[in-house]
Amino acid sequence: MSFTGLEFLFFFFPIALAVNFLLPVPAGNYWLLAASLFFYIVGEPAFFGVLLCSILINYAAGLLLETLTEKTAAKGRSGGKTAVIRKVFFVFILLLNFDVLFLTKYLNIITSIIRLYIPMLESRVPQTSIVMPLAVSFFTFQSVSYIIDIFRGMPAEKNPCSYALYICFFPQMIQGPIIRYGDFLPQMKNRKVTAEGFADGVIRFLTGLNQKVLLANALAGAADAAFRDNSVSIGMAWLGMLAYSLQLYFDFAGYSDMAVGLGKMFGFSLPENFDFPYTSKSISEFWRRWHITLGTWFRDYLYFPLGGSRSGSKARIALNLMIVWLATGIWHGAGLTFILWGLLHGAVIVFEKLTGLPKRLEKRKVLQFLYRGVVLFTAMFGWMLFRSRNFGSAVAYVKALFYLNGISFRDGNFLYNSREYIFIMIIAVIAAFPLLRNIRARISERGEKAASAVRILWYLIQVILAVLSLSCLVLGSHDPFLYVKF
Amino acid sequence: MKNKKTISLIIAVSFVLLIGFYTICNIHLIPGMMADLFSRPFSIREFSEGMSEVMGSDDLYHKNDLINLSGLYARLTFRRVSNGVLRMDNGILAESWPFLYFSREDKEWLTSSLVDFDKVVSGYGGHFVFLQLPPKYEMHDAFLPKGLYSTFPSAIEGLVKEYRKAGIDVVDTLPLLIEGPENFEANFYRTDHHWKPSAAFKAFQMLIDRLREIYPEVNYGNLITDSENWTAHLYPDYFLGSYGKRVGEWFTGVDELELITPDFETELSLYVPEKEEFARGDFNDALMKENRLGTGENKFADYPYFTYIGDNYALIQTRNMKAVSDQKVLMIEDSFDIPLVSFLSTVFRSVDSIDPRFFKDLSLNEYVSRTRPDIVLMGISGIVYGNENYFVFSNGKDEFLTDEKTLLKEESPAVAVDGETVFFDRFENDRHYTLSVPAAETLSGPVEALSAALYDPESDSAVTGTVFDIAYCNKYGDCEWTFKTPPQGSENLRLLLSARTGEDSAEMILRPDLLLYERAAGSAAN
Repeated sequence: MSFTGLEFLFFFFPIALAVNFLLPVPAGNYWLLAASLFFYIVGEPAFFGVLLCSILINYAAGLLLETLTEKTAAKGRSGGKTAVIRKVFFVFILLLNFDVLFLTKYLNIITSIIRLYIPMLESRVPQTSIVMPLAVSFFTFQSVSYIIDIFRGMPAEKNPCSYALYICFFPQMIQGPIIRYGDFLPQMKNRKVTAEGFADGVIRFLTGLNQKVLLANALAGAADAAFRDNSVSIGMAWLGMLAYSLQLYFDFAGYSDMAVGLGKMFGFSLPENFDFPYTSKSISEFWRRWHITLGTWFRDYLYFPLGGSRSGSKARIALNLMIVWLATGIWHGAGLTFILWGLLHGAVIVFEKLTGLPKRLEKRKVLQFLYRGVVLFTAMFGWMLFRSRNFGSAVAYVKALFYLNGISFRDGNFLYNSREYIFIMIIAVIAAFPLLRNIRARISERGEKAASAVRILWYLIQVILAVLSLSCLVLGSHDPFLYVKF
Repeated sequence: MKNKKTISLIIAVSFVLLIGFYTICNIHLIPGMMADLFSRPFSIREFSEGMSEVMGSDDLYHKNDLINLSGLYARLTFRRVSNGVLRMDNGILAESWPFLYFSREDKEWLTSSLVDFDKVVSGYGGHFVFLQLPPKYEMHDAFLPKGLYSTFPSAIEGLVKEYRKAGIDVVDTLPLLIEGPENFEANFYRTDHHWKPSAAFKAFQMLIDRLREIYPEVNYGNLITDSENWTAHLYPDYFLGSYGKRVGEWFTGVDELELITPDFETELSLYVPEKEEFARGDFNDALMKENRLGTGENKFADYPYFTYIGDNYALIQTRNMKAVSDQKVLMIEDSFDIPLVSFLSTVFRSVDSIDPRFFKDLSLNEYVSRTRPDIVLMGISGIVYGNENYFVFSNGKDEFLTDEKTLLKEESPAVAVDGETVFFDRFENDRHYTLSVPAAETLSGPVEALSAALYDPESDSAVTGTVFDIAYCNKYGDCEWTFKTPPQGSENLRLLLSARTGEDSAEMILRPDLLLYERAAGSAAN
């Protein structure tokens, strides 16, 4: 089931909302758990067992880890044998979680690489074709963050249903935002649906729906046309790269807005995942605005444990950053293009960190503006790697971008698609920047009446756009969210 | 603050009401969902897919209005493509992907399939003609958006060249229909992928002209092929075609329906075996289906293109009691041929039409071998290239019937009114039989209706897919029905006859004799 599916919008969601509204909080949480499990099983029945096992194992592991932590603390400074057992168990559980991710996400490509590049192993290593369970990257990362936080001293959750709800809460389970258990627990216990919160949620939800359907889905055609084959003109290559960058943004940010909006409607405050990333003045800033919760996850659970920026030498900081970005690339996919994507961002961030360039440009507006162009290009170039079917296609695309393939500047493909999508792309570019938000904020500053008028007008605009979105959704064409595959 | 709370309440309540309203308006879908769920073994995947299907069904509340709105959204954002449908410069709709390619292997396979089939047809003395019909969205690059071009014309042109080189008799309608851009709108529906009946009529004329060259001795009726003797009935703003239903009325408007019917006298019948439907009368009564014409009100539900014949069927059989040509025709068709078959039925005594997508009873080789049509036509548009059902004329174990036959029974049977007579009951397994029925009459007058069926008393049903009816013959010639007994259990099968005349008699004797043969099958081909 998808947020943009009609069965979600007009059956699952209203029923989930209505019953939640009628039940007091403890019972409401059980209802939400049942609804979330139903949401998952209907979307992915084959791997429901994987999800359940993950929940049960990590729940039990959390309790055991907490017991071991208490025993270790009781034993005093060194902790003795218990401390060793605790660490070993901790590593074991982490490896178990990452094993699931590895097996389901990476084994296929690894076996194919082995069979391709080591011929003598071809007959011994079978080609696997394991299907990746829905949302495995996201629920694995939430589980791992839970285990790590317990290892760091957070109390484990005693109620298995509460823990299960944390893992599979349907608004954020499939594509995030990734939430920490420490932030989720108090909301679970004390959530309250207020009119203001609900209204905010409605507006966020509708905004996200409209971004996804009216912008992301509409731009898909231009992106598909560019990436369909390996021989495109320079014009089409740049058009396709821009179209995909916008499509991916509105698809993912749209989903995140819908998730945050749904959370609010159920009384939860989920963390923000996007903040107009294409306005960034540096790649470092970009990653504080794009998929924010993933960035903070890697920062807190990988970068800081490696030493972070306090590692001492610049070489060590650079290494830490490259490890984090390699891991980020691998998290997105096992292909070479994802690894290159991660290393590209890592390299630019290392450059910015070591040179301090973004800070130095703050007082030099023209250069800062030019550097923004570099940031945008880096981000878009990275998405091109993302979208390419394989390394060979990516190389072909790069050649097209820089007119190295000899295809004329404006071929028929470019002429046709540029005219077809120019209007949507202009709208999308405007929407990718906080222009409308700033206008609303400026008007709202004039007083309460103005703020109320702006709010209701924005809501009405989103409702009208949502009706247009619904008209697109009933056409029945396949409409998956792009980040589902990660 | 109070203001903000009030506004929030308004937003919250209105949203709940909107969602709730649309949910309640679609509550009627739930029984269907549940019925579908309980009709098969439960699985979550099927339940999930079933839910999506139901929500995507045409019963969704105001779905058509929403489709119209989606087309409007595409217009407002200056896009020419919506839901895979392209609006060309002249406002006519087409597929958004106008590319067709044939590899050398494709061309070789297509050509050799036709050559082999041609051999089967000419083997018994028939003549095969391939009719290349014009697929729509390939017609004119002039109307496609700048930068988009179509490979269809060149691809099909290349293919037709290969067919001709291999000796296939080809009538190519493309040159006729692409005389000039102005003909495009005259020949094709605005919102549908089909051509108009007037275009089909031009193809009809082209085909008859070709047949005149092949059979100069046959009278094909100059008056019949003269458009002056036909009337075009126009229904403006009448329907949404296949493309239009995907994008709504506001994307490019609606279509004017065109129906062409003869002014001259006709006496025809149409039999659709899979529906056991039989119609007889003039052209309008027999071939035009008023229930498909609709009223023009429900543009999404109605599809009046199928006013001719009624639909795409696996097999249809038309018979002409006033035909100018005695020849039997078989058309291997796609939906473009439906008006064309209707026009052909005004010329030929017997026109059978098979749609290979649905016809699975016999291979095409077997069908022509049994029925031996004088002219076999294959009329396809470019759309069906790539459909695996076309160009497959053999099922790998074809049984060709030879001229060898053994007479089993020759008799004038007594036939009861409103009852049945058992004509023969000593069938053997897995054999071919032919019942030969000349125009029959009883002692009290001509037979109004005579039918035969191979009946199994244990299951109380007919064994074969088709039954025989004398209406499919006429006074001009022999009428035969060839059927095959099942591989086992044929000991109790009976060949039943029943008849009706204009007079009410308790018992009649049929004259002349009916003949039942056992036919010999040749070795399997291909």
